[in-house]
Order: sequence, then C-alpha cells, then structure tokens
Amino acid sequence: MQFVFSVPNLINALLISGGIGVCTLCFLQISSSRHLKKEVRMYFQVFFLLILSYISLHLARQIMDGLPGGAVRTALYITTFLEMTAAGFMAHIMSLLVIAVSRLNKKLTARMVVLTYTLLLIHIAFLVIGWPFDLIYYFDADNVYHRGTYYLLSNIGPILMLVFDAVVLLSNSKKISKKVKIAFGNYIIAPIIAILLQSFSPKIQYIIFVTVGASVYMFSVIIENQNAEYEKQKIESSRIDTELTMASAIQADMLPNIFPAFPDRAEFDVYASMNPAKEVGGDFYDFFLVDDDHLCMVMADVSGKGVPAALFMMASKIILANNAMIGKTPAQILTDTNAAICSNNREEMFVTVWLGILEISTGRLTAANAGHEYPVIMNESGEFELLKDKHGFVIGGMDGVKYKEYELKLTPGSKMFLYTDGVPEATNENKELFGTERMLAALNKNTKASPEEMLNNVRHSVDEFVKDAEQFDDLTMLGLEYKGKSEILEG
Amino acid sequence: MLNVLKNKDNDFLSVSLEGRLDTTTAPQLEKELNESIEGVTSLTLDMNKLDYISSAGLRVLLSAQKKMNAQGSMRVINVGETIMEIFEVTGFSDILTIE
Repeated sequence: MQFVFSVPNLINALLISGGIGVCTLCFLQISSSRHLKKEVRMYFQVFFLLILSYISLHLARQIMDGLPGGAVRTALYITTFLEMTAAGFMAHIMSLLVIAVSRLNKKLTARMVVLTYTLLLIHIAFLVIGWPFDLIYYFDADNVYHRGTYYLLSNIGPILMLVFDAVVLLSNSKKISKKVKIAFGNYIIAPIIAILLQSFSPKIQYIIFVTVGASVYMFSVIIENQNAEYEKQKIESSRIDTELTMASAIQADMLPNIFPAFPDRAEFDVYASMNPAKEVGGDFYDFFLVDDDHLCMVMADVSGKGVPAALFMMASKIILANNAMIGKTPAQILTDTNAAICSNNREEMFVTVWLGILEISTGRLTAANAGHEYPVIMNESGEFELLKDKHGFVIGGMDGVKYKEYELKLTPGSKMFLYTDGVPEATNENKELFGTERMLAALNKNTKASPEEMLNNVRHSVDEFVKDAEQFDDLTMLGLEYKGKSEILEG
Repeated sequence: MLNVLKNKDNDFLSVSLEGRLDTTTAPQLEKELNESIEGVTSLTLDMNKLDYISSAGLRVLLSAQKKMNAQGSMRVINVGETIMEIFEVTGFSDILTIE
C-alpha cells in the first residue's frame, strides 16, 4: 500500500469519502421522493449509482497503483477501463436527463436518444480499441498509472455529449426554468474548471469534487422544481373538486326534489331520486304539471359520464320541458327536441328519453320512447312487468327522426316505475349484471308500496346485489302511483 | 378492458372487438377508428367477443356510422344476444346494418 500521509492525499481521501456519502444520501432521497416523474427519478437513481461506482473505482485504482504483482496489474487494467466507461455512462445519463427536461416532441426525442447512444458507443469503442495497444493509458513495470499517447480519445465521447447537452438546452431554453438551466450549465462548465484547477495542483482530485457538487446542486434544483409543479397541480385539482361539488349541487337543484311534490293533489303520487356515480352525472328525471289536468314525466340518460354528460343533460332537460310546457304531444316533444339538439351537436352526444303525459282526470297516459329502457308498469293482475313499448332512435343521434307515441289507460291503483340503465346494469364483484328480472322481483316483493317505498325496495335490492363493488353508473328512478279522482272530489 | 384487433386491406377495414366497450374504453376505439378510417369504403365491426356496450360505446358506433355513410358502408357482424338487446332498446338496430 502506497498511501502516504500528505495534504493532497488527505484532501483526496476526504473528497472521495465525502463524495461516496453525499451520493449515497442523494440516492436514498431520490428513491423515496414520490412527486418526481418516474423517468426523471430513474435517471437520477442510475446517475448517482454511476457516480458512486466511478468514485469507488477511482479509489480502488489509487489504492492499487504501484503495488507489485501480475494479478494487481490485471485488476488495475480492468478497474481503469471500468472507471472510464462509468464516466461515459454518466455523461450519457446526463444527456438523457437533458432530453427529458427539454420536453421535445416524440419523433425528435427518439432521434436525440439514438444520438446519445451513438456517442456512448463511440466512447466505449475507443476504450476497447485502446486497451490492448495502451493507447489511452498504461501501467509501467512498477504498475504505476500513466496517460497514453492518445489519452485525449477517452475525452472525445464525454465532451461531445456535453456539447450535445449544451446545444439541446440552448435550443429549448424557453421551455426550461431558469434555475434548471443554471444547474445544467453548472454541470457542463464544472469539468472544465476542474481540469484547469487540476493543471495548477495535479495531485488533488478536483474532478470528483466538482462532479459531485454539480450533480447534487442539479438534483436539489430539479427536486424543488418538480415539488413546485406538484403543489401547483394539487391546488388546481382542489379547485376542480370545489367546482365539481358546486356543479353537482346545481344539477341536483335543477331536478324537482322536494317531496311530496304535489301535496294538494290526491289523484296521484310521484317520487323520484338520482344518485350520480361521479360528482355530476348524465342521468335525469323530471316531472311537472303542464296544466291542471296534465302531468309530464321524463326519464333520460345522456351518453357518457362526468362534466360533458352533465352539460348536455342540462340543455336536454330545458329543451324537453320548454317543448312540453307549450302543450305538445310526447311524440312532437321528442321530434322537436331532437331537431333542436341535432342543429348544434358536433360532439355527437345523444340522450335516451322516455317521456309520458298523464291526463289526471281520465288516467290516459300518452308516451313516447327515444331509445330509453322499457318502462315498468303494473298489469291488471297487480304485478309489475316490463312494458315493451315502441322505440325510436336516441335523441341527438340523427337529424330528422320522427317519433311515435302510444297510449295506456291507468286505473286507480295503477303504478309505474321508470329508471335508467344504471339499475339493470349495476354490477357485482363477479361482473354479473343486476338485470331487469331482479329489478321486477324487488318491485313485486311489495305491490302495495308507495312510490317512495318502490324506489327504496329497488335500491336496497341493488345495494345487496352489488355489495362492495363500486357503483359505476348513475342510479336514477321515478315511481308513480295513479289514484284517480278521489271520492271526496267526486262527491 | 377492451381489445381492438384491426385488419386493413386497401379500402376494407375489419375491426374485432373483445371485452367491454364503455366510458373508459370508448375513447380507445374512437382513436383506433379515427387513425384507420381514412379512405375506407367498407368497414366491418366484429362483436363476437364483445361482452358489453354502454352509451359511450354507442356514441362511437354512431360516429363511425355517420362517417361511413359519407364514404362507403359499415356492417356490424356477430352480434350477441346482450348487445342486440341494447341495440334494440336504443333504436340503434334501425340505423346500423347488423348481419
């Protein structure tokens, strides 16, 4: 062992051990930081591992340098080769990092990545070719390290990579924050300074000092940068959450939701509810009196979910209600609503609608169906069953569609149940659908149930079926009981 | 999850769907179709292995049907019972060519 206690040697020992410590800490920190982009985190992990191995190899070479023996000689050659290869890989990872922070388009990124790999291969090729001919470095008879005649060859690859980094950074400088630019600039300039310093006092390993220093600085800047971005996103997403909650409240307020809805009308009872799967949904129900003798009921489902569906739902609801309020028949209402929506629907959204108008004095129900689920109606023997009514195409799907209507006669005691596909398509953990059979069974469990109880029965049955699986679709239902003219009124 | 298998032969495009076509997977099919529909005069959608289609999926079909009305024809083949029921309820059976 040739280690002599001298000032430069002590400084070198401090630089090397300090470098190993700092790089290990950085590696541990980067591995546990969650807000970094996966790509950037991986590059830094590899980068710090490379610095660690570079320093360790350097240390190993310093320790072995000048020790006698053939085995040491082989080890020295291998260690030096690996050390210089590691330096090339470090420059390569730095280039990949530069590409990552520059946010180039896909095609350009691919080309740049290929270019950095080519430079890395050139570097390794020089080292491999140089080895047997002692071109870049060699060890004399005493196993002491010397630079070869073509030592500069080993610098060509890394220098080209640094030039590459500088060019990419400068040409994309608008996209990169000032601090990050300074950090990278530091990293590119630092080795030059180290080489200058080294020429004044050749015994001290400035290169290790500046490499570690510049890397740690860049690391801290990038982490800070990414943390700031993460904070910004968090604020943005909490703003969106607040807005969605408000939107959801506005949407719920648009639907009649105070029950009993018509406390002074004894001839019928209506109850409805909506539970969106997301904050806002595309399902809706509606009911209102067109005049003293006509109750209009709507059940509808907009294609898709979330905010787009909710916006489309609001427009559809208003257009349907406006058309209904001027006394049109259900088929007319659907035909005209379709025409209005199709006139301006570039997103090709559509809505399925069942719309019925009940003549309260007679129990005559006129209805039309635009691609919506079959309504459930109580038959003469007092059981709920699907009414396989005539279906038109969905509203908003195609211009110029004409809808047909049909008539039913409700007698006192008749009940109806309307729903959206969220009910039959509720799915349990085994991916089974709730289906219309289970829905009818839930309704038939108590045929004397009031509209509110009908909805509760179906909801309980769905909840029991779905259990722990997440509610994926909106659950929207409407129940109607027709009681007819009360005896008091008749008398 | 949805698997989209495309097979393009000059002006003929056949697309096999496997899995569920719902809110989460519909954008995927929309993207795949938009990429390949240019210049196609005959589009065939094979629904043999499709388990489920939601309204968001129907929207993509409608959009494709409209495009193909302008540049050729579209067929939907191997429609299972569940999917057929959805087509019938929503009225899509009237506007799609189902074989």
